[in-house]
Amino acid sequence: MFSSRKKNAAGGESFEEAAASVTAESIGAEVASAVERPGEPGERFVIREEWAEATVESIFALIARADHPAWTLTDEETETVAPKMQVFLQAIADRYAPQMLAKFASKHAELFDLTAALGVLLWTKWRFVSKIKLVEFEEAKKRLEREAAEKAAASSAAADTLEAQAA
Amino acid sequence: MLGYLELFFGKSFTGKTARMLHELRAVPRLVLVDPKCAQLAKLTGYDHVWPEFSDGKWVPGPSSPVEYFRKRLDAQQFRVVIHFRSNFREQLEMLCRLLRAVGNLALAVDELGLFIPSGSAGSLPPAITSAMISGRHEGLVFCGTAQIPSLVHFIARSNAERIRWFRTTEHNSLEAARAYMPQALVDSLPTLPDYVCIETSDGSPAFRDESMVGRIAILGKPAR
Repeated sequence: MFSSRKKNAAGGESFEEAAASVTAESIGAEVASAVERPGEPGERFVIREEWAEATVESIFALIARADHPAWTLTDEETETVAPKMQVFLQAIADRYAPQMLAKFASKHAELFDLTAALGVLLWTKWRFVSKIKLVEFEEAKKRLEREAAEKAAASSAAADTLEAQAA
Repeated sequence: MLGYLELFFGKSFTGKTARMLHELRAVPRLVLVDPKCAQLAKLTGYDHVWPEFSDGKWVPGPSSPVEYFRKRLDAQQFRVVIHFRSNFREQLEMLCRLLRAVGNLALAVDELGLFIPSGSAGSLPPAITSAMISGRHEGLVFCGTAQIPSLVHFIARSNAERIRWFRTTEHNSLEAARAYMPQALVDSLPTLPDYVCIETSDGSPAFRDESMVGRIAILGKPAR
């Protein structure tokens, strides 16, 4: 007696037509506009060329480490494969990763929330630590330059002293 | 077996809603509409949907009946209570429009008088009229309860395949009952015990039904 139908058998509205007629459009439009559209600048996660090159190189680096160093790719070899890898990774980012994330989020909501929170924390800390490292690197560089200059000045002064003594 | 349009009339706490739920117990695809948001809000074994109504439409999202039914278009079985907190007539009209597209289900409305009060033939919204008059074409079964039959739209009463009359003392209700049953049964209506009803239907004489006494429980009846 009870079977499902998506289209009204009497020739009336389909479910989606009926749904649209009873759902507030303004809010629906706002929600729809908030949905990420591929190709819109600033809203799409774009795979960079250097990431694709690094991925290709890392695959062969692993083989090189396991088997023989001659497996290591040259720049020319990397450049021939990297564009294909970039397209593939972009497809993952656009299509497969969001689906997998959505599925994971719906099945393991607590773990997803924790992972997201840890991810944000790691990203924030990484940026903070990177800045500190940069500052420390600049200070170390200046210190080394200063020490080198002091050494050079001391050696030239010593040389001047020796020349004066010799004279 | 449930007819395509069945009504349950009677005073509060006489067992009409419990009887309606009992008659619907074997229906695989059931939508129950609740305007009181009291006893039926605690009904177990049912999904509960609380739509948000704004500017004449339902706010999209997980609380919307649209989302609930979109996921169950192909489901062989679902039982849901939809709780309406305002704009009963408008929301039932929207629900009927949606459910005609879903098809093949039973729609049970508690306190039907709040949704379709008495009025002229043209005062009944089109999707509700269609669901009650020609709902069987989409596999819709419609049933509802009301405390006072004269305050329910006459199209609902005139198209009802079966009406169960529980205890009532109101003058206009008794007058309405005279069109459906012999005077002796009308006279018994004000003194009917809980769970006992007079059943009137197309093609068979009215009779006193005591079969549910001790088998069903009135929802939320205060202890004496």
